[in-house]
Amino acid sequence: MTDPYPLPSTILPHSYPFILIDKIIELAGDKQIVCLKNVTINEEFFSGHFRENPVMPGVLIIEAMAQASGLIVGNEHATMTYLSRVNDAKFKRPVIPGDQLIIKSSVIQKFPPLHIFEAVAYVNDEVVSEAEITLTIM
Amino acid sequence: MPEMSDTLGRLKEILITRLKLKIGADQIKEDTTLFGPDGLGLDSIDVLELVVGIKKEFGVEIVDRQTAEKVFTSVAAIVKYIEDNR
Repeated sequence: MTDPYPLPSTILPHSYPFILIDKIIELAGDKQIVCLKNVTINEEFFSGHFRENPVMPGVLIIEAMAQASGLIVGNEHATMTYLSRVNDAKFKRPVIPGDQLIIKSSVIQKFPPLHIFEAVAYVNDEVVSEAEITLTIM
Repeated sequence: MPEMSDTLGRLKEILITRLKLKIGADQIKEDTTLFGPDGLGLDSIDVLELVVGIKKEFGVEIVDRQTAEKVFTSVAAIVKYIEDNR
């Protein structure tokens, strides 16, 4: 079965090892997206964060949210994207190897090149993190 | 006009809390400008934040950059735009 959505790597300017979205699950026009990231023990950062107690760094969850948000706009046209602001970020529980991170992001305001998104990350339907993300999308 | 001053008060609150301005409400006057060293010194990211704040607080939308450029000249101009479009 062919996935109805393009691979994130074909839209995002990012490449290995910094693509933090595995696939797009749902894309509602230029408004909302749902993405998936499988968090595996093989992620390089787990070797040091932390050796005895692997936890996905919060900043990388924010980066995954920013990439998911960038995919909404990037799917419409090629972009270069910069993180411009992060507001009200919360990390409610640790994300660990084996977790499947579901990231939902919606555009709440756009004033090109600036776009504000409301992003929420879930594991097993439980909110693990949320933030308001502002991107400059050229 | 009490309604006007109420809008002004709420707008000051948005400016101070949402944009985290390090000034008191009494330092924001109606003729205070938004940009530059003589004004509030806002940047483009602050402007977008303000657009969201005004939408959430007053239900008034500023949809494009042209409107924003007209509205975000002074505190009084924002108050007038909110009053006219609510």
